[in-house]
Amino acid sequence: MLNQTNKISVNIEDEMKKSYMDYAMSVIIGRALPDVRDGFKPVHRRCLYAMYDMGNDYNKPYKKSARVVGDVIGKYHPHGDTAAYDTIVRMAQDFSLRYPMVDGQGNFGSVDGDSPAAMRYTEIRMSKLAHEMLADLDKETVDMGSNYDDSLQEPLVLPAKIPNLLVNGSSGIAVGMATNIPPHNLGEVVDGVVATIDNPAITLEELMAFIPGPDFPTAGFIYGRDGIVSAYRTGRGIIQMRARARVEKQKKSERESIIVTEIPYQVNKSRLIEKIAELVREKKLEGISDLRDESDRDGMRIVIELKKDENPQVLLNQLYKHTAMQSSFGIIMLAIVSNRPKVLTLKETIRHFIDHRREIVTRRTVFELKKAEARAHILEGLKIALDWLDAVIELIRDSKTPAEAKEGLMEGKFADPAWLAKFDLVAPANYSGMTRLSEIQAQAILDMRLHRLTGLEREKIVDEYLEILRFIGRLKDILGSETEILAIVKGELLEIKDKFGDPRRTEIIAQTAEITLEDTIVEEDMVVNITHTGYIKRSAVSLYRAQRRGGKGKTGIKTKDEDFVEHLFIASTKDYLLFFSDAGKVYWLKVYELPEGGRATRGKAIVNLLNLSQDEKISAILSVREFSEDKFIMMATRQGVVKKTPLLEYSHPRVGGILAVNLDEGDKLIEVALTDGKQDVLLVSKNGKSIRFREEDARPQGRVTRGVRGMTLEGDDVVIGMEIVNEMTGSTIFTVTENGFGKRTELGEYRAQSRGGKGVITIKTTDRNGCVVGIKQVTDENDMMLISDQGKILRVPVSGFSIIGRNTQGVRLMVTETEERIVAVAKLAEKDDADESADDDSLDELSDVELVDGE
Amino acid sequence: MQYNDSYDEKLFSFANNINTHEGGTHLIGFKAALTRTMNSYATANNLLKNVKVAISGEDLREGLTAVISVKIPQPQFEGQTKTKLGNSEVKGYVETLLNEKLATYLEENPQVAKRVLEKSIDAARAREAARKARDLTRRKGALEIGTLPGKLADCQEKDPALCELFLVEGDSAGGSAKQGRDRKYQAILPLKGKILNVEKARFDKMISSQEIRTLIAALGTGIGKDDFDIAKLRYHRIIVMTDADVDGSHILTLLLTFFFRQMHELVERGHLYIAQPPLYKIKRGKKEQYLKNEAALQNYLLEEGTDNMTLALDGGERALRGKQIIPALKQVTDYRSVFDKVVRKGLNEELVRLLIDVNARTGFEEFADFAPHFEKIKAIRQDFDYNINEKRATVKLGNLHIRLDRHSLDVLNSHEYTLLFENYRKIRASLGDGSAVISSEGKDLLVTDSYEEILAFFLDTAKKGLYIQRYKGLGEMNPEQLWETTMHQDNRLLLQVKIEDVVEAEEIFTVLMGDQVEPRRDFIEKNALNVSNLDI
Repeated sequence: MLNQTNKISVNIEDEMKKSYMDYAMSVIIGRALPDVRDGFKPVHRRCLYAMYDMGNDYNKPYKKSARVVGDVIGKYHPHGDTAAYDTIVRMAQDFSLRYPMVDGQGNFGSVDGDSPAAMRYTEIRMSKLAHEMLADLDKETVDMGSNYDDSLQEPLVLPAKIPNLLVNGSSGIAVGMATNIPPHNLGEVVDGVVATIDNPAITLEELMAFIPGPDFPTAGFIYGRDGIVSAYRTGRGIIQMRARARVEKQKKSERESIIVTEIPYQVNKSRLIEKIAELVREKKLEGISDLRDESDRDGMRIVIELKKDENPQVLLNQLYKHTAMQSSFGIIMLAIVSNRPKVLTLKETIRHFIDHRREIVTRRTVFELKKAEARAHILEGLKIALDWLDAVIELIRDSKTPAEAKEGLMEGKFADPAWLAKFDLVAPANYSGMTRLSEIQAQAILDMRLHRLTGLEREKIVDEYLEILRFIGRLKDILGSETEILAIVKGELLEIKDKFGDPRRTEIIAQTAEITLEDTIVEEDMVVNITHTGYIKRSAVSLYRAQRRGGKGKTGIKTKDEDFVEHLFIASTKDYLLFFSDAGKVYWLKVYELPEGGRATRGKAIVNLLNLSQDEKISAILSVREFSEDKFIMMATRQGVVKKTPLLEYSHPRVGGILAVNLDEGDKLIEVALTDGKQDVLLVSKNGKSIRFREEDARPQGRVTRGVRGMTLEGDDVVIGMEIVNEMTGSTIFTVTENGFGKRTELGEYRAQSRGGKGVITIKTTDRNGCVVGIKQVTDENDMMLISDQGKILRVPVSGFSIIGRNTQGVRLMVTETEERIVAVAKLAEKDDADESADDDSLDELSDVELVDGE
Repeated sequence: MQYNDSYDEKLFSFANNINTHEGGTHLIGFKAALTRTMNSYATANNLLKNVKVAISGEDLREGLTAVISVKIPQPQFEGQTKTKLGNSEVKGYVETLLNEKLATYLEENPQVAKRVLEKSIDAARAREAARKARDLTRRKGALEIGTLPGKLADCQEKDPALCELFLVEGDSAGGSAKQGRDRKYQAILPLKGKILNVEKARFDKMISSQEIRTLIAALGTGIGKDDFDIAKLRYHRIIVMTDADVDGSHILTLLLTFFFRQMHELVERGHLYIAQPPLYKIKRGKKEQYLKNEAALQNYLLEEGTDNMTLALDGGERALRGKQIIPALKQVTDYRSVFDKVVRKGLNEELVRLLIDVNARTGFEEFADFAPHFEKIKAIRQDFDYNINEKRATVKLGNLHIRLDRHSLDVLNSHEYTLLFENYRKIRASLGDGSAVISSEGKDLLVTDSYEEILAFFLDTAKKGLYIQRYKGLGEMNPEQLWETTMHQDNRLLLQVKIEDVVEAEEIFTVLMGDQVEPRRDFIEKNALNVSNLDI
């Protein structure tokens, strides 16, 4: 029994293809995309047609939405009721459609995203404008098609006196493609269409003089022309929409508030407010003290109250950046053209509309001509009858049945001379021979009322006949001339503009509104901490509260045990930090990009912030406020190469960093300094040689250059340090060697030589001393940190060492064990003179304990 | 510590150089610190933003090899072999130390941290998906047949080989199907709306979809690499029964995707069928008949329409009677469908007719340019005029203004146009130049000179007194009707789904259902004109 079923095998692939294509094409052609001619998707067209069909006109009483929906889905649109009702509701919303098609009575929702009342409550009728979309529908102007069950006819497109696709826009997602067309101003589009009729070769620039861009029902701003031009030229483009906001001073207090009166298209107001509130809660937006929606029947008004002394412009920029107060609208001008989806330019869209209107006007004229000719035919018959009045009356009186009378008339029996003679009648002067009438004419004569025989009425018939002949001539003229038809299209469009045109709502601002993060940053001074092992953070200056003299000081940063602060300075949030790596690359960070932390936080490792490659290490950091022309960057490499480059060369930050210097194979960048071009440079090598030369000796070079020789090295010697020296009083050179020895030497002992020499001895590198590890330019107030390869750190005050000559061995700075080597020397971050409190008590502790165990 | 690509966890612990392979407090401390530090790092750096599952210690240790060695003054060993460290204070030490050092390491090596965490997140996802799949099968396994979904109307028969499961679109159709079925061996499962596209969704998301779960439970096979068991299939015929509209087609594609991707074996063994509900019901007087599709309706109408008719051709020299007329009419129908395709490509109907006619009279010519063809038309039609410039041609035909461009020329040179022309020639061969007289029982009914009017006449005659209902949904049918036409074993026609070429099928599913839009659009554009069922 089971195997009786007829079965056919189908390949899964074929079935898939067939079913999928059925679905995809139906959605593309018949569901989600608008027709280029009337700008409607089938569901819109069906809703309006159903309303038109039931006489739901703008000047008649409203009808219950449910009745209309019932008609729509029952007659034309075999889908769910919600689909139809949602469509009608959207067409009634003045914030969704620039020019609503439906006049609604009741709650149709709001920009807050409130849902409209159910369809059993609301009432609707067509708007005045909708009638223009449907005008001449009864004059055979458009093709009609069968509805889903072949029982009724529906229009396949509407006559559309209005360029609806552009005016009201459209959006829809089909399969594999989507459309998103913004609304426009009716008057502007009409002008554009008229201009295109007048000059079919019009350029986009000329056209855009009429249609500068979209015009949203929710007003607001559009920033930037480029997106509009691209959309009009290619059919695709992205535009930025912005809310309209102004700053108001609070009456009582000093505080200011931002008042938002218009928001971007399709932005949900209540969700926008929620979003702002959420950002405030999450501390992503600071400076807002209160947020209220004061919208009422007078219009939209969102009040964002600021805290005291907040910069409203910065906050506004933050709002644009982080909320929907600035939104983008991605234009895709996709529409159905001759049953195919096509991405259209502005001009193509307009041309298709003109073609459509021309067809409508032509077909309407043909229809009217047919009607006029039919009427003329009847009038002609009536006129004959009036001319032969007595004979005709006799004929009718003589006939037994209406059929006989009709036949008599058709045969022209009344004009037969024999018959006339029988009744003693004569033919009218201007007639001779036989006169025949058509069946229609004969019937019209028989249907004529007696009062038409009065003199006045007779005249009227003649007048009408002449009138209609003139009219026919006029219609024929129109059909014979392309220009006449286009003139009518034009005239009707201008009429529409007069009737429905209104001023533009959305303001277009030419320049783009790229809001960079920078615009949202308040400029303020920050304390930047960078530790020896590369942790960095910033904290507010205010955290370092002024203390009285002799105060205990505060911890500025929490460090790992074996770490300490190497750089500490004050910089503005908008200053740049330049990070130079040993591989010769430079990276930028803005101070505001650094992690902000309280005093007791550790900050972040620099590797997290920069795009460093493996094994790349930061060798120098510079803080730059502005890239001024008279500043230079001096670089030194291990192989004794120096390079001076104007600071300006480094003023174009890139995220991935750029090459700062061309290094030789195996060479490393060891030190970078900012100079004014008039200083001296001191280079020191591992083997205790040093050279001091004038900065002028090195000419400024471009960014990606190798540099020049700064010091000639012997054997395996390498440069280990560079200092920019100035003859500041008390400034000495502090030199440290591997085995824990070192010394201080007057700056004056280093005489300036010419660049590239072998240099003079700065310290004797005996077996006791070992190689030089580092040099630093110091003053009496400085403290130095010595770090050994076993992780020990020693802090030594500079003032504890006497100043001795250049060519000496130095004294013991730190007791090292056998095999223990000093690997680094660093100057402790200076105490900040500008802010007395910038003391660091963790460092104070360090100075108490001479030796800190690194483990 | 070192992570590698594998999924194993290898932890070696030592206390005072003694291998403690049973672990102990130092191992516990290690694990606790690892879990805590990794998780807090991930949270702090927003790496868990799109991750719904919590990462467990196990996930973090997947692919980890580590050596933990502690040196303590007074080790206490536990366990029978004394290879488990028992000093409770060690846990705290290890934990604190590792917390601190690992956090520092992660902070200073973000790339490594990210890689490791990505791996762990994958592990967590996999674990979660596996758990869900397990739960699903386990829950089902609790009872003999499993907890069947409430919506399933099961059958009485227990032998899977005899059972059928109908997957029906929507509750409204489900109702009809339930009342119309033979409950002995037919089960009904209504599916609500469009089911999830499993091609785009991850396994865990698929498992969370209610409709899919219901479906899997009803089938009884379980799901997933390890748990799918074809032997447990409860029905040997899975019949997809969707509405005959385009949304029905869409649901069918979604279901096919599910079965192809997740229950491949089921399709391969031929358990999957597609039901063929009728598209039309026709009623003449009391006689009712169901027709599967457009073509069947056409056939029916032609047979009815030509009954007792005579078609006199070539000025009465030839005459076709009754069924003899049908082949010629079918040619006209074919011609019409190709004609529609050509017109759909954007050419004016009237112009195509003229061109074809002129071509048929004077012989077919390639469309290198419009001009020669237009000249020929101009010779026979007074109201025809044209104007050709470089970019486009404009044609005036009566009151019509038609604009033609390069694309139009392509259409005229296309395969479709040639086919159209061939069809036209065939018609000419069988029907002459179109002038014909149709008569019935000696009475002339129509005198015409157009093929299309001939066809229209017969169709109209057939439709007289005929009530044609086109079914939009299964819910439109009475249960009895549904049984008669679609479900009854003797009457119905089933399409058995077969995989002929796995590779090609694979590709089709990827293109049509995958997340890449570009290839899909290309496919649609290529096949746009082969659509048979366009529903607006």
